[in-house]
Amino acid sequence: MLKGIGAVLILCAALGYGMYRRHEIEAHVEAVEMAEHLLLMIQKNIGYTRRPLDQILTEAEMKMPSGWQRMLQGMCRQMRELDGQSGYEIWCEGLKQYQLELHLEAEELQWMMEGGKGFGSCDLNLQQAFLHLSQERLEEIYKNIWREKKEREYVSLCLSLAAGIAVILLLC
Amino acid sequence: MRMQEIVEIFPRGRRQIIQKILEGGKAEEIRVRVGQQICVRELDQERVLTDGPMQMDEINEMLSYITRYSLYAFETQMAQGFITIRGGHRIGIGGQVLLEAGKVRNFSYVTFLNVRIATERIGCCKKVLMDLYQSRRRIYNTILFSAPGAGKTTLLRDCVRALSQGTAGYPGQQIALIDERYEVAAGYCGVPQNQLGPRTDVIMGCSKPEGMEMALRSLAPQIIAVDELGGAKDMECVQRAFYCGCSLLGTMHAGGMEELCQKPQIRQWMQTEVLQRIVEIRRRPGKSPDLCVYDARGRCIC
Repeated sequence: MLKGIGAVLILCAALGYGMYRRHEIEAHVEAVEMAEHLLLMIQKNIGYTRRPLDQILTEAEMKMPSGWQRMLQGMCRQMRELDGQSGYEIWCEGLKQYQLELHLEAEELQWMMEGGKGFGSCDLNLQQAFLHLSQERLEEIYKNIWREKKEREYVSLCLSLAAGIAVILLLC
Repeated sequence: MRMQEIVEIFPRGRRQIIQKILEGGKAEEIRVRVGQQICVRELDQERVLTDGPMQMDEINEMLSYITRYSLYAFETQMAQGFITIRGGHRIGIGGQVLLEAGKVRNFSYVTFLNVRIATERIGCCKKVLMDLYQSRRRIYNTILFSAPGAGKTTLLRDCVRALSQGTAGYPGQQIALIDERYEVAAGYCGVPQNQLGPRTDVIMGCSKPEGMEMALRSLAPQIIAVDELGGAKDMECVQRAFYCGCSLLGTMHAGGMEELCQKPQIRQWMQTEVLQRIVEIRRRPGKSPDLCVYDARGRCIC
């Protein structure tokens, strides 16, 4: 009886872990999509309104989910503090600080940081070009992970279940 | 004085000394030049700071702060040679310019900065204000003139503020201020940093003729205020505004009444009596300027 309960519990835990992994994959896909949107918003807004960066980020913040909002708020705050860092440094630091919360992987973080390389320079076209390049790269990443999303979700669920069964067998 | 905005634009290592200087309350200008010590102009004296010459990096750092890491957002202002910051202070820019089709587009190197500390002289129009009213709800078409640097813009700003606010028995008027060079309103990110009264709408960074057209079309002003009228197009547009039911409040450069009357357009406006008040601002060293009001016939009435 107890063995049966134990086995069910292990299976439930394995299933739970599988679901958690699935959720993480979904969050990752969403994060890449959001990253792409953010770069697009900044790129188009600086080109059209030509407002200062902190205002552009504040506007973008209102259209982003909560984790992103916190990151953008932090960046704006730092930009207004004028504490000796360059615009690019503030951008990179903010992204690194919130990487985990935003569910971004190293490659995506790298491209997000590249997007801000032109911040602080006078040339608007250069800034837009960097943002555009990063956005294109993120678009490719997004397409790939979107294609693999279903498989990865299925695999993670199956693996978790298999691991659960393996543990049960080992314990038996 | 709004000091913190000035202190903030300096490199961190120099903020303390600048803060001390500004606390003195006498500083009018802070001049920053690459490879040179910072100079502060206080009233008619110059003070040279001894905390080391300014480095190129420091000027670039200042520029980042002035533009809030967004040089592109200030390109138009930079092409005119200055940037207005929060608090209405103006930063004059010098260095090597970048030309495009023969016109200044921007600076390739910014190596000189002149931080001009904004001071509003609220109430300086008191002496002439009542002479500008034609009736309770309308003012005369008025030109304020003086030689450069005597305080035309300051007087215009205070007139706008006072007319917009209104006084006992004289209700405030709807004013459209066309601020082509951001000098009157000291606009920063579209927000006037100077007091312009509760009924003033400002069109910033737009040429005077275009601005006046826009204001007439959409802002329904009772008064159109413009700084530094001069070009033929400006005059043409002002002429049109005269016949649209608005009063004009403008400024012009001229060394004296005779010099002003030599301008054909002014002469014509005086003859036809569409220009009904002319205010001359005479600079007096160490004192507030002397204001003299003339009527349409050029007679001094105050």
